[in-house]
Amino acid sequence: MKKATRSTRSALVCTGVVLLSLMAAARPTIAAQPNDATITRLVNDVQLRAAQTAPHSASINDKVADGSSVQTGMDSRTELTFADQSLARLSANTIFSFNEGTRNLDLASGAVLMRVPKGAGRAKISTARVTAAITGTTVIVEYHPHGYLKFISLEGTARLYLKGRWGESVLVRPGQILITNPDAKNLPDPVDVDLARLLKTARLIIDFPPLGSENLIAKEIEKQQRAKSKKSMTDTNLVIFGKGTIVSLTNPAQMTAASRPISASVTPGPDAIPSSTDLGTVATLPSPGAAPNGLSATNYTADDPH
Amino acid sequence: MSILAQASFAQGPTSQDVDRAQLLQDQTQPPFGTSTSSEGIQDGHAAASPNDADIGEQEILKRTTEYRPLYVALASPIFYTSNVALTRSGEMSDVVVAPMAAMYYQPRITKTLYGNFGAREQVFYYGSNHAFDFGSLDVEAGLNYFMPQFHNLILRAEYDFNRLTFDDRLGDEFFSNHGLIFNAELPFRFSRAQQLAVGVNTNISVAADHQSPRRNDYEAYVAYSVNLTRAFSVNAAGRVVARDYHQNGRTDVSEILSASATYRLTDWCSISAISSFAHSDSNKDVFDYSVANVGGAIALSARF
Repeated sequence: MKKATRSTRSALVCTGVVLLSLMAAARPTIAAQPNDATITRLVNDVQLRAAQTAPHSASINDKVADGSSVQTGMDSRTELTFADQSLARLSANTIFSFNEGTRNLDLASGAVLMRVPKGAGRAKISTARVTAAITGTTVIVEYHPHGYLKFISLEGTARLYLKGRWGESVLVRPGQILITNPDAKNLPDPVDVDLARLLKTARLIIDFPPLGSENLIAKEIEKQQRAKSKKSMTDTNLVIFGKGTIVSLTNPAQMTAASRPISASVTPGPDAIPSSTDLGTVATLPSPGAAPNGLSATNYTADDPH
Repeated sequence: MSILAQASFAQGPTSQDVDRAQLLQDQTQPPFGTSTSSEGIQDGHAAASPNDADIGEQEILKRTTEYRPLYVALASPIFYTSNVALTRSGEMSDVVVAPMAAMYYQPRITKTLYGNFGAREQVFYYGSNHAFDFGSLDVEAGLNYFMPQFHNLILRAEYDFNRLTFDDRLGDEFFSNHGLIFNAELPFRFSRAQQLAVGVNTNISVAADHQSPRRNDYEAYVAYSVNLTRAFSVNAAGRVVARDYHQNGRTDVSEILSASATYRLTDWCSISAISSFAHSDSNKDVFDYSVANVGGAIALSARF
């Protein structure tokens, strides 16, 4: 009787130890999964590079492990979906990686549209010198090392800050764009950008399925329309066509044509990037001598007698 | 880079824009032919690719911010003071409630010149030493001038009428003064969130009713402010003031340190923790004193 009890107890202890060992072994796998992403859309050449492995071509539904990087080639795009329903849509010639899921997104070069839903937790997207806290926002970021950083918020407020420059942070509100030299010591003020036009012309939006934050973006578009009708916000003929920082002065005919919706199936022709019909262009070449801070400080003081 | 872009954003579609565009292009174009780096940059811009429309067209909108010249504020500080009567010995402490109401009209005359017309009434109620209760009314008229070309130097000149009354009885005056105030302040912004300002201030009394408290003030100060978050800021200031009295050859020199932390609850409402310490030395020793104040305040303000 005693023997039987002892052997039963030993069996229970062994079973417990085995179960605990299995749980311990399974834990890293379970913990790692929420930080992984899945390739949900893919156009042309997209390469995955996991840690210490050779890059290989990605396919739809490929899992992208935490710490991996994704690289798109010429004329290529892809969409990553994270476990928390955050989305990252990568433009052509983009190198993007992430750590701890959406907590540390790193844009080494290129352009990305990020949607981090509210409640998804703290998320930030980093470049070499500038970091953006983007929780509960839909944003577009374009970055080229030592070239420029462009940041657009479609919905939600993001905070941009310079690494190692305490207090140097800027809020980019819905419908605002900020362009800066990533090596600058100060961040400039953001300016407003027409969300409706951007939404109709951005292939990272029109060539892809719904983002999930359309309603929130629509509300921001509505706010801009209301501001326009109240004349507190007006259109200009200053347009940046796609990537880059060249501000083109367009004529009214172009403005009207451009404001018409573009079908998702239409490939942008040469007229999408006008040159000969421009009235002129403003080159916003990054220059080490042109730290973009002086003007904002002047405006701040001059407009506020306090 | 952004300076150039923003300068253009702020303008309408005029011929000056084109001129400026050409001018800026001349200044910013590289001296030699185009170059493309391996990082996708061509002449400082993104190299053209078939996917250039990926992030869409960014039409810049011009926001018209209406300048609102009318400023109204209500505040109610409540604080402990260690020296009610500002005396050298026999100090008495008390709690002070000092509600304040102010209204200013600050019309923009030019882009850098503003008028400043306002009135401010503050009444000091002492918790147990009611005999010290008094009210202070200031009526101001002057000009504020901003000089962006000199590191955003701010110059102020104004006439100030100050009237002290017993308690909150506005008709019961015990002192009045007509003063001319001149101020120069130089702000230094270290980053978007931090600013240091140095300034000098003079308050010259041109006429007063009751001569014994009448004086000219000469002040130098340094003030630091930092926004720790979107809504929370901390300010600290140090001042040295020489007070030259018109009678009895009395001259006081006061050193004042103050610090405050403010949390903005809404655009129009904030709460603060306030503290200050002052030490005053006079050539007439009987007027020496030290005082410390610690407390809090709630403030409402709006612009119209």
